[in-house]
Amino acid sequence: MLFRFILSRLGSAAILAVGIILVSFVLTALLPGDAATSRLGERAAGNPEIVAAVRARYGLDQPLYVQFFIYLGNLLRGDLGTSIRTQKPVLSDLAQFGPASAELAIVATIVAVIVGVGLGIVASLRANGLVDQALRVVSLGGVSIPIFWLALIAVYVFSTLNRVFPSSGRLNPGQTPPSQVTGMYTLDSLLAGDLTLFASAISHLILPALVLSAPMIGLLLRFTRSSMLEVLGNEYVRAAEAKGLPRHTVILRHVLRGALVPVITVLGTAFASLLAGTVLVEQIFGWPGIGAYAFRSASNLDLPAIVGVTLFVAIVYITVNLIVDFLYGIIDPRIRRA
Amino acid sequence: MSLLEVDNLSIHLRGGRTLVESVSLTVNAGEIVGIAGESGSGKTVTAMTSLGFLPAGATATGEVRIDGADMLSMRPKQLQAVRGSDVAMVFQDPMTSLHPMLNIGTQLTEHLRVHQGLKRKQAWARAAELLELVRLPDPHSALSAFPHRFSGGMRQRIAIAMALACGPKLLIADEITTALDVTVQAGILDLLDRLRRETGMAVVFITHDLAVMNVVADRLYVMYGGRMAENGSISQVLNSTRHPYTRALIDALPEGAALGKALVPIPGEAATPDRRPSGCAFHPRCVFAVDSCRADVPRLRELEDGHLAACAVDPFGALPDRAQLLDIALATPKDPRVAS
Ligand SMILES: Nc1ncnc2c1ncn2[C@@H]1O[C@H](COP(=O)(O)OP(=O)(O)O)[C@@H](O)[C@H]1O
Ligand code: SF4
Ligand SMILES: [Mg+2]
Repeated sequence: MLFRFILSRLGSAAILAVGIILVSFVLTALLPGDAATSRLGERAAGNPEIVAAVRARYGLDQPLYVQFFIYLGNLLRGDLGTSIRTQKPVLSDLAQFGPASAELAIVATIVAVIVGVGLGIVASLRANGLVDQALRVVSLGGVSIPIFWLALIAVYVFSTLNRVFPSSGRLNPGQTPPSQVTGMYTLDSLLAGDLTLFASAISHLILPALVLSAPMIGLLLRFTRSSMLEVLGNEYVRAAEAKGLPRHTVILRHVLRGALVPVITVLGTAFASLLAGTVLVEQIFGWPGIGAYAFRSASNLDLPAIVGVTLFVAIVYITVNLIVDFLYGIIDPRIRRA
Repeated sequence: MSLLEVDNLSIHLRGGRTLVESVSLTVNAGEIVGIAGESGSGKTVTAMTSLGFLPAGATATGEVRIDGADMLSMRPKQLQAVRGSDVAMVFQDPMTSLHPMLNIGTQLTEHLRVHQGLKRKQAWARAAELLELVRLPDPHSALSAFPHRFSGGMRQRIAIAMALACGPKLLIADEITTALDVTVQAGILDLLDRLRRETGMAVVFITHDLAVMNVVADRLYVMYGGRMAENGSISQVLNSTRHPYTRALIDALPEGAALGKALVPIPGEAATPDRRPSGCAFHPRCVFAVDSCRADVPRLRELEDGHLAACAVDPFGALPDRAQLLDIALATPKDPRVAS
């Protein structure tokens, strides 16, 4: 049952991915600018013979639907074209900037889930008490304070006033990055066994990750609280208490499990807005990630790079939603049948 | 000393509403004691105190003792030790009382492991035995399944197995057949009766259905408006009824009352904590009511050995009951000398 559930979710994710590729292909085909000449230097682009040769070489003289399959083939081989701005293959740009963003987004998400769900549980157990009131303010603040404002305050308090955390970059000036395995400096430095480098990577990561996690914390706190309160009124919770189970077992095994489905639902949406937030956070913290790359590509109308980023983000998003779906299936056996 | 002693229990909510007033009841080891009364009469609230549960924000006076230990003054840890091990509970609706996202094995074993310190393997083996005990088909594969796989009747069997896991001395069964089909009800009642005989545990059996009660209970308490109306042995209360409310409940039973047939409501509305009439709470619906019934709360009085009722008028007290009348009517013409 679980196997069939996973298979069906994988299938629909694949269909979605093809759809997104189709859209990005149509975008590339429709937008002004010749894909052939953009691959050539200025001199060569003036020579019709060379242009024709390139067109034939890349299949650009074929009908559009054939081009789509060529495009699909290129994608599968990892050929996303060449960035006009950096003059490097888009894929290698993504491989360079992607892990930095992934590291930021993953840590921010983990922080947000632990803090948001944890505080949500606390708020629900103290419903309408003083702690709950205070947490309501926290949640409201996280959701409604603009992220750039939060970032500026955080930098001012923790870097300018008190030099607790560095305010920009991924490592101290002069430090060389660990040899690339995942591209995430925290992981790679650990893999290399270099603890000083790890400490530096972490201290650079904390501030931007916290700022990035704030809206998600607010959202998860609110959802966890209300979902917990709803489940607390269920008879199966009373039944668990009537069995004489310790309080923490009742709360974590029975109530939280019952409350988690709506929380997971909002997790996918919250992650999407977190991705949008990375663009701002990376700018403010000088974090060399996909957000910063996308920002500069867009301001230079660097089409291959923009399409590459779009595909990258779309694939990340599909993957996250796939994970969310799997979490549903693991947590709620009734969903596996669907 | 009785197994359960509820002594002069009153439960008040903030804002002055009274859920239960001066209720006393006892349950002896191995006995099935019924609590009857319309919805809202305080059956569940009373029974839950024997597990140390009070409604949120409520305060209680009086005592509730299990084996002499007062449940109302216990600390949370002490309560946890009693719940699920000495006293267990089966709830009304098996669709909502089992956790939909935990498998049956986990739900059957978690308290076993806490109370008896069993290892996972031993606990799961015990769980399979319990499912056999309640006659659930294919107990071993049931352990890894989730509640949605089972029908209401099967779920209620699972809930009963859960309650029996630690071998409780007292089982609280709160309307456990109300949510089930009639045919399924009979199976559950048979099961309860067999388990009681095999394990010797006492049962507090709550239902508003006197026909079911008549089959199941040894002794019966009838509650109305949060107060005790009448109690005694099942034959005292149902065959020599002394309280007009009990009488009304019996008269409202459908003719030839089959198991589980719906109760035809007594005219007027049942008293609730929000709207409880003055004096005897039953007076607006009582055909025997006199002026004093509106003013004074009638005291619960012992009318014959172990048979108590709270009615100031006691309209059936002067008369021989129906059964006796019938005996007299049948006996007299045949042989007048025997009757005297
Ligand atoms: N937690 C609570 N808060 C407020 N009122 C309650 C609570 N629990 C029960 N009551 C009220 O107490 C009365 C008796 O309830 P209950 O014992 O459930 O009745 P029964 O089980 O006889 O139908 C009902 O009117 C109910 O509304
Ligand atoms: S006390 Fe009065 S109102 Fe109450 S049951 Fe007896 S006769 Fe009826
Ligand atoms: Mg009830």
